[in-house]
Amino acid sequence: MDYDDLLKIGPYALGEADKDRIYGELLSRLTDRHRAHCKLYDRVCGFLGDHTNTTRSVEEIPMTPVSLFKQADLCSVPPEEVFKTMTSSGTSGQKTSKIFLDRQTAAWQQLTLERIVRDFIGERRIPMLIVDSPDVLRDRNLFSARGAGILGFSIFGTKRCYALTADMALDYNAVQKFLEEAADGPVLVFGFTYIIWKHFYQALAALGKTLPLENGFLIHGGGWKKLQSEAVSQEVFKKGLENVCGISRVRNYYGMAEQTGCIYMECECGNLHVSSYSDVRIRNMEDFSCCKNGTEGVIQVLTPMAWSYPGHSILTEDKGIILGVDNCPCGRKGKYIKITGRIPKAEVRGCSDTYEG
Amino acid sequence: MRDNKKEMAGITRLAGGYELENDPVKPFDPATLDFLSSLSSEIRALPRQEASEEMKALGFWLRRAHLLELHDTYGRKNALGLGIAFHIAPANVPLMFAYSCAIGLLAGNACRVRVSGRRNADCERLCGLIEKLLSKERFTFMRRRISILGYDRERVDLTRQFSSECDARIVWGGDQTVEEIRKIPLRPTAAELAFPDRTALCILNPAAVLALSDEELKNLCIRFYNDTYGMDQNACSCPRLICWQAAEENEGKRASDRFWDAVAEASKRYALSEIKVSQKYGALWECAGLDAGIRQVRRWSNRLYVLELCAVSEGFSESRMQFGSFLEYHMKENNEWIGAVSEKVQTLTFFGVERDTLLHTVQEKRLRGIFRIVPVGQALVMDLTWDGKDLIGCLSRTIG
Repeated sequence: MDYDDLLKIGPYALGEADKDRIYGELLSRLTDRHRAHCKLYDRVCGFLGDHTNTTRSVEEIPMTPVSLFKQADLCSVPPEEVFKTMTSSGTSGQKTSKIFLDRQTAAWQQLTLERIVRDFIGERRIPMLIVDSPDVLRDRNLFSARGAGILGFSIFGTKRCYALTADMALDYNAVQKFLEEAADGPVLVFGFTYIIWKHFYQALAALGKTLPLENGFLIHGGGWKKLQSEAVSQEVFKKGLENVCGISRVRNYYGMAEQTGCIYMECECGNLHVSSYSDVRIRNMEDFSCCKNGTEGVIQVLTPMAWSYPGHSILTEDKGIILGVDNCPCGRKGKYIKITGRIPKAEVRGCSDTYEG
Repeated sequence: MRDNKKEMAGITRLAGGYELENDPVKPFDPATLDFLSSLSSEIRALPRQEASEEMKALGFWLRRAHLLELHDTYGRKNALGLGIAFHIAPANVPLMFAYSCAIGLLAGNACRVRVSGRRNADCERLCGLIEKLLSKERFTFMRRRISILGYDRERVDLTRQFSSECDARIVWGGDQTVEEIRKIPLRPTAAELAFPDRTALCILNPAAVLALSDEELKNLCIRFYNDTYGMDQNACSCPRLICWQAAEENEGKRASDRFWDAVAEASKRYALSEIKVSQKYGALWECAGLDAGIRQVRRWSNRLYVLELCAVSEGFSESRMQFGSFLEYHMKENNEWIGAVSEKVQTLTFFGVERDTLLHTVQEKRLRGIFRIVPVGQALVMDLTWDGKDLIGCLSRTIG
């Protein structure tokens, strides 16, 4: 079996026992591949006691720290096969992650996203309202996870409308016209959580206007950090959007630039689902042991999709919980999880970097 | 009691007055010793749950007997302070501001101290004790000699004003801080003491470690733990590189295993948070992956990482060894450690080695680094000679 075969399995059709076996095998082969083609990765795996050409359990696959993609160029295909280099949207001043994609991996990312999202919005392409500025795609400097997310989701749209102008103002008339043309049919609304709240919901609320999106399906991602600091909960977010545009299907997703495409979609029961195309472990940072389901720890994400760079097993800086396996009331198989936030920044002692604050 | 005039918005007065007198006094002036040793008594009278290890260490450092010892070593008859000393204290060594201030006072100066906006409980508690002492009648004169202020680093205008008023400026912290503060002018007559980024290394003798009883080993490793984990291994004088003296290969390896097992045991008391592991594991990948000079990596869960080097180089001072991560090297001949020394290396700690031998090497080999040579366990002990400078001498004037 390879990743193409895995993609033939339904996104939520793989039971845990089968998955563990398939993943152990696929990820072991992939670890060997990356060790053979990425010197840095190979060196550290060796130091950490990983043995090549063995079948490892999923838990034994070495974890690459997500911060390493910011510090080093991690690539396991020859330079001439790098088709696209993706960068994460680091806030200004911070280093950004660099992800090297060959054609195969880039295609898999797109297919993976398609398989997952279609399970929620159906097989038909529908009009798509993008809550962002078209400049995100035009400006190469801005091309980042935000741009990649929009491009990735664009395959689900027949025609597309950007809801925001270059200066991030709501283009109410354009959106209204677009929705008139959609004539009460289904509409996909896509954007980043914070941008939807700040530039769409709040703009509508300030105008005192509404939009007819009763048949809309809103998908948003990109993290809650900014909204949490403004004390906007998921409930408030959903309620607010329902108030200004009558939309009832509002779904969050979790994902990261380092494993683009492998997203964790929120189901109708409010749980984030792990698809057949990736897996999750929750690690106890004391010794990296795996936490029991229901126990909070640091999230590790795994996917056999990461072919061109050694990002098939990543230790993130996010915290979460596995809520259950194979038994979500929505009927989807596999694990379902909850993200509880970022690892809290703590006071670190010492005399370097001292004049802060 | 408080003088509110001329106080500016955006300043939190944590202890002492605002306006300072600029008349110097003699170093180790009896009234100053009185005040500092009273502060020591206050600290030592704190209820157990309010006294952190660092607070206890400060209380111990300030006790009268120790101050008198310092007087014997650093006192001079024909000296006088400079006037006003302006201290810029580091944010993440919480009580460093107190040592800096005490040294400024001992040298005979009135002290203005800027502490970071990020203040911890220890800092607040200590300022409370200072304030309490200053409200006593016998110490009212000290209100015009101590001013501990909290303000935001963005308030360059305040740093500029205090810099223009002082006779000496003391800047603790990293290279970046020193560079930033240096842009702010001082009066032509004022002196500056700056403490940039530095690091430390440790030299151990394998035979001496192997000769220890289990109890003695445990004590050595607790001292080593205090030197390193105690400050998240992030202070200038926390060792990051451990050099084992030349020995038969087997002996070096046995000593190293024995030592690190005991350090791992001592590190069980360390508050290992998720963010620390996250950064430490990231640094492990970075260091072991990007630096081709690593021979092997050993881990004791996530409490202790030891990376063995194939060779020593000055580059070690740039490695992000924190929260219990160490570089280790087995020397083939006993002077090999000098290859790791640049002007960035401040402290050398040792066990099972003669201090004089090390000092002799530093001088004979004409090394640009090494400012302190102290036994394992004393890396973080504040001394009046720091970064090679006699602090009392630098902050006072000798009348020739």
